[in-house]
Amino acid sequence: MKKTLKRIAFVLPATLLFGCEPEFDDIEFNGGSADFSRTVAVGNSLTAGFQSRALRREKQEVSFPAIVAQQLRQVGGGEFTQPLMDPGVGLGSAGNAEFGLAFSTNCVGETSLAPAPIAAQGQLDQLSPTTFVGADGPFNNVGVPGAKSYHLGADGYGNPTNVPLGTANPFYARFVNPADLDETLIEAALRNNPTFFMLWIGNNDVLGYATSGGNGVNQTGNPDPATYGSNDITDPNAFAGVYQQLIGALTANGAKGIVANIPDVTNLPYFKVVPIGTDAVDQASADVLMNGVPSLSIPGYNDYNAALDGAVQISAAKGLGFSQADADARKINFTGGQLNPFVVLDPSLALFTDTAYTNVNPNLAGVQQWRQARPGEFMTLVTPGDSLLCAGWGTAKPIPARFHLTAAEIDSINTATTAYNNTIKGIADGNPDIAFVDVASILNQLNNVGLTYDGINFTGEFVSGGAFSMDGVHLSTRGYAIAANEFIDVINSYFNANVPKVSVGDYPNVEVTN
Amino acid sequence: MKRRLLPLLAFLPFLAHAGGFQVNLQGTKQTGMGHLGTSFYLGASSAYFNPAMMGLGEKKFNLEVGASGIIGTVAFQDQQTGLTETTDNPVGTPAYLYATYEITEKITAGLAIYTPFGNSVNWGDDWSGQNLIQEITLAAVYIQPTVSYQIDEKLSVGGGLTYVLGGVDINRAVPAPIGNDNSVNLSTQFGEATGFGFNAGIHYQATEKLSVGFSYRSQVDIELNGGSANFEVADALESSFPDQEFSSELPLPSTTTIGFAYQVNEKLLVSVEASYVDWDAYESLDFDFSNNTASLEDSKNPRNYESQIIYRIGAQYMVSDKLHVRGGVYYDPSPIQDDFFNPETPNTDNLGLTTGLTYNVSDKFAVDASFLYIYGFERESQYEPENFGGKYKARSYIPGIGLNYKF
Repeated sequence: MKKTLKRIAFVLPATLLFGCEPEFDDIEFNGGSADFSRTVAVGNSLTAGFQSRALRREKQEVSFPAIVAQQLRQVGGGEFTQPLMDPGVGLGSAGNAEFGLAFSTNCVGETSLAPAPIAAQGQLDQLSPTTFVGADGPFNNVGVPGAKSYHLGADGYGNPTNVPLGTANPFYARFVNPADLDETLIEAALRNNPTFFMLWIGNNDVLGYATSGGNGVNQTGNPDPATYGSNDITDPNAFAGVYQQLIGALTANGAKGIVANIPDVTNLPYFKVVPIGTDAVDQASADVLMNGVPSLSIPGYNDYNAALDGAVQISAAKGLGFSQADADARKINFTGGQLNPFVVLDPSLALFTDTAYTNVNPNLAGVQQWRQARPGEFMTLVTPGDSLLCAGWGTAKPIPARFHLTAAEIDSINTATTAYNNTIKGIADGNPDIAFVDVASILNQLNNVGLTYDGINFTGEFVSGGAFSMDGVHLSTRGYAIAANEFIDVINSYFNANVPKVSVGDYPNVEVTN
Repeated sequence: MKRRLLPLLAFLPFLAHAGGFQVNLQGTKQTGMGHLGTSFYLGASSAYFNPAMMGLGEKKFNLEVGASGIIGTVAFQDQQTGLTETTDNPVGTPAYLYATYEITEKITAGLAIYTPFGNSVNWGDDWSGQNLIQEITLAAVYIQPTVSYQIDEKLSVGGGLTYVLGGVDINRAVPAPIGNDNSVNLSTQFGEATGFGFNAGIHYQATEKLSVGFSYRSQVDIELNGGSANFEVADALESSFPDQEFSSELPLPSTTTIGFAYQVNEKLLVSVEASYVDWDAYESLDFDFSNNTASLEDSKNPRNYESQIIYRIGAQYMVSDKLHVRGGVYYDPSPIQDDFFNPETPNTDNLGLTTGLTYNVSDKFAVDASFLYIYGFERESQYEPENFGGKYKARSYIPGIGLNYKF
């Protein structure tokens, strides 16, 4: 047998030539033509890592700029500091804690999963100067929840004394430079002497208007942001001017950068969860809605519709401009057993309080600005579900305008968004040092066909789609990881770099909290 | 001997180390020379390699048993993240048993039990492809009663019916949007999955030195019914993913082989073979769940394998009456297209280098040994439907041992 083994020994070596374990050549990662040694991120809540209605330390740590910067570190990127909150449950603009997902029981006794705060209140102590972290700056991430384009260059936007006045942002006050309380966010970013910047701004220039159901003013044509309210749509020309200045400031010392456009905000889950009508009205209920209860002198929608026709008659006689088409468009009809659009209050509808009407029919003064919602319009995520189910909202009573986005409002939002995006794209195209991420297209793809990474399919659906957080507006942790990869993709192709991406599946999902 | 071996055969997992999840370790002697043996007689194992040859032995009764130990690793490198991950596969131990008995001068009967398909891959629970596969064990045992008939001195034919018992055990993560440790186990009891097929062969001794063999093993469709799908998901998802039964079907493709053997001199024999494996049959791996929900649809997973030809060359040298040594090489291209490469069957184009020997302890008893090294060529592939891919590379070391008894 020994002899045999010797013979094998002659044959075996040939088979071992190829090595023991399968191994690969290392991948050459590099930064291409960009220098990431001092990278800054400038923007709003999306840059800050805000999700599920709050800013919370553990989510800041996985903000999309933090993820990108972590990857950039493998190609020469430097330290990337963020104004982190203290560990805790987070803090939202209503003083609330972060929202999670919890089982709750509604007014008709049905239990289902719904977003709910993870604690009774947020980390309000983070608004107290004793917890402020500005002395630790400058920070590489100067994303501030709620910031609009024109806030980035606004003096005093982080000055704590301005917070109670409503002219400063408490999320900026947390980390404003103690040596210069009026320092703008752009100046705060520039204190890093950046070699590379990420700028994603503009969402809030339409988002406040959208999420408030159009409860603001479309300021298109008014170039002075100082006169705007918080829910207004920023004038696209003002946006263009501001954006040009921001880019000018960020590139003044030769920094390269990447900018992102803003998604169609009406594509967000926030507007896709609550339907515009109900099929839960049976014929008997529909009859009561239409006829009212004559024995108790309670009017029905037939009376409302008749009053509108009456107004048309008067208007025709006196040339007041209220046409039959106008009347028909806001008549309300309920039929049992089918989908009936909700009744909404639309402040853009005509009132008949003018004496020209009331002199003929005093009752016209009481005709409300009501109509039914139309296909293509949206209810917001925060429309109270129990009020719809049990308090007659949308059927016996109108849904308040702040929960409803009308077609005209959607138009205003889309027009402004398109204008902003043209500005962003134009500026990026005109500057060879600036790469451009088409976030709007990515969100469209998410909504239309979904995005798949490592066997995980993401869609634009609320909760089940996986990409959005519990507020229906901001991304989830995995959503931010996807965003980070999209930014890296563009950096790689535009700056001829090879920055490693992240495995989206390494980032956690939401857990149910009860 | 038989009684002991059967349960062993049934419970041991195998690693895919040939095209797709085919296992080419059906005889220690043949394995030692490139796993070829269609055109010349090497013992009772001809019941597998070419049933026409079963009657070519010197003795009336021939028995062969054997097993291999597969030590294999597959490595994956994500080209986007730079991350490298490797499998931690259990040592696979496929085995075989062949027995033939010469009833008359012309007719020989045989029984073959072997494992031509199997798969055992463990990537771990937390690797980046966990939503495609975490761990899989697939086993198929063929039981084949066989008959051969010697038409004349030169020509013989043979054939058998195969009854196939299979079992599968799959773990994969469930990519649900809530919770972080959602997974499913899909398994069948061994033997719950069954199928039928046949094999046939022709052997022709063209000249004193040259022989030709042809064999065909039919496709076997393994029906999996009554498998159990057990979900481990977040409480909130339990109603979306109820535990239930599933059914599936897996084609084990047909293989057609032609081989030539040439006896160069008294001591040296060389042989070449080509096997056509009809992997085109494997289009999709579908799981039909008995209790679909909004979150759990039937699972359709395109595979789109392509048929391939395996080329083999090998030689046997008789050092003495007691000692025969062997060597061989084969090239086994992967049937998996680059866009449908699922890490559940991480099959690369493989080069097999083999060596082996037989030592005749006595006139009746002999011991075989073989060693197979498989070099899996690096490939960059993805599973396009799930957008997961990167570079893959594989290595396997497979020692084998066989025992022969004849009288």
